[in-house]
Amino acid sequence: MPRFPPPQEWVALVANAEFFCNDVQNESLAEQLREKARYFREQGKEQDFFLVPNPKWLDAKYPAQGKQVRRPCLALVSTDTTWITFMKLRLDRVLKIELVGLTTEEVLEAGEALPEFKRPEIKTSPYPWYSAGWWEKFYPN
Amino acid sequence: MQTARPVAAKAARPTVISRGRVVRARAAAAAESPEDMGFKTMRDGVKVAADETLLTPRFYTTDFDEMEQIFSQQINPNLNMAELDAMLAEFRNDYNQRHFVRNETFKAAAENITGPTRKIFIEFLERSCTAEFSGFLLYKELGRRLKDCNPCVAEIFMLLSRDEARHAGFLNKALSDFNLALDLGFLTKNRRGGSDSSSGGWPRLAGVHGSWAARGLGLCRRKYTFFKPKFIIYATYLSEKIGYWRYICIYRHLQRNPDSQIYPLFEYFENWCQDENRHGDFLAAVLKAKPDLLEGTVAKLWSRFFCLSVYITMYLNDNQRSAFYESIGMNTKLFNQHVIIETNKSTERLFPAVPDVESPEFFMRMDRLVEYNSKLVALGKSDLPAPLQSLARLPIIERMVAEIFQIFIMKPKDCGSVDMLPAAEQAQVMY
Repeated sequence: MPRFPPPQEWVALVANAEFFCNDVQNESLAEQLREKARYFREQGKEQDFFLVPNPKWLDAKYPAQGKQVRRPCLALVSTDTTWITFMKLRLDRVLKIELVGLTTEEVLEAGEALPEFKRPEIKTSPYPWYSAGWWEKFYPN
Repeated sequence: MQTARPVAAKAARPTVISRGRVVRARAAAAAESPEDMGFKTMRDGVKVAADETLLTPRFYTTDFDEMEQIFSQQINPNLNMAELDAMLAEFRNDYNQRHFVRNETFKAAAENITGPTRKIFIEFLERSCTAEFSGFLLYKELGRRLKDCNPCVAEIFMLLSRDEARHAGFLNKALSDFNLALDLGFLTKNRRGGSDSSSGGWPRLAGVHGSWAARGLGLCRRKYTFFKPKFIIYATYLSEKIGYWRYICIYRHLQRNPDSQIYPLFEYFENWCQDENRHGDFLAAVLKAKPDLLEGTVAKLWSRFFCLSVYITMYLNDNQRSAFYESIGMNTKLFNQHVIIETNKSTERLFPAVPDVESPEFFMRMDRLVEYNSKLVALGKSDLPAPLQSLARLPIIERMVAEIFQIFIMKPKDCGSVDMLPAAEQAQVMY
């Protein structure tokens, strides 16, 4: 029997930040993360997912994968590998990286802040964009 | 699958209802009785709804043996159980367990909706309820049939039917605000044909929904449309995804225009449509388990065909009822176009080809279809004798068929999930 619980393994879904933050198609991510945060509060569970802007580990530990990702980028990270499998199915066009052996501090270490995105008006849309910065609510504290 | 009509039911009701849905009016003092609103009544307090047409929501049945083969791990090596297990975990969380709780504002809001708006509201609720109920029946049956061959998938289907039952129940409660209720219960008897009494002929609905299911002792004799499994999978994927986009658009529009929020039902749409979106994701996993549906020329043709069927059906349906969307402050055409564009983008992540809906030609032709369709509708309401009506319809239908053909042969977009691409090409479509 180990004396300590095994360190938590994190999994990440990485894509360029425009994909996550500046695409009408993916505004549902804001709804999903709010729903999940609400669910965790109701269940009295600690939040196990975060959004990390320009994560430090990408170039430091995964240079080959890092080369495939346009910058600035964003990573959705979680210790719930099952949920990440579902999110990969949903988002599809993201790179899945298993952050083996990284500590929680390393996983959550953010790089440069995301820039302000230009948000074109979409003439068919019956509603405006979600307020910019919704993603910051899911940054690690 | 037995789809024979119940004999007793047939004898008990006059033939006038054979193609319609029956809505029972409550005895309560109605703001306006169904007759006042121009609904056909078959006897006191029971109205006959609009005729079933090509565009009405319908009920589906399929080849369950073939479904078993798709979901058997012994037979189908392409089943990605990691994805399916992840979907099951997501459905088990049941994010909306406590969401569908009504409040006291519904009834009063409904009473304030009067005149023609009231009529189109009822129609909207009825169609939505029927569509959700249709999903409930199909998923429930799949859940029952797949129990032995794949317990994980069977449970997922059961949880999908849980969601649909909730949605249908919530809509039926909304109908009761308008002093009406859909009689849905008889349907299960209709399809089980007496060979299976395990659920007593009634859908087993949890909690509050039990009451309306048990109450719904009336008739709703609807033909079941048979679709082969692969078509059911394409079609339900699309209808779940388009359902998400419709509801979220209405929700976000009303969130920003609270003056148009004339009935509290829409306030529930944000959480509600997350269910639809997840259902679509599950069906995406199912499609991936059948690579022949996502690869090759034939798959591309079917993909485009189903996209177009779903988009055209919605476009014609909604534009025929633009008064409803206008009553909540929306521009029907733009709303529909947005829904189609975004649904198409969701679908691009899965289907091997989709129509190019952002080409100007696409909605130009779709708008022509709307014009032809309204001519057809006007003809149907005209005083012309039936044979002349049929004759007058022919050239319009010919134009519609030609237009749909032109849309179909437009240059499509090749697309698909990155999981289906060779590694070298994956980075090109993403990140």
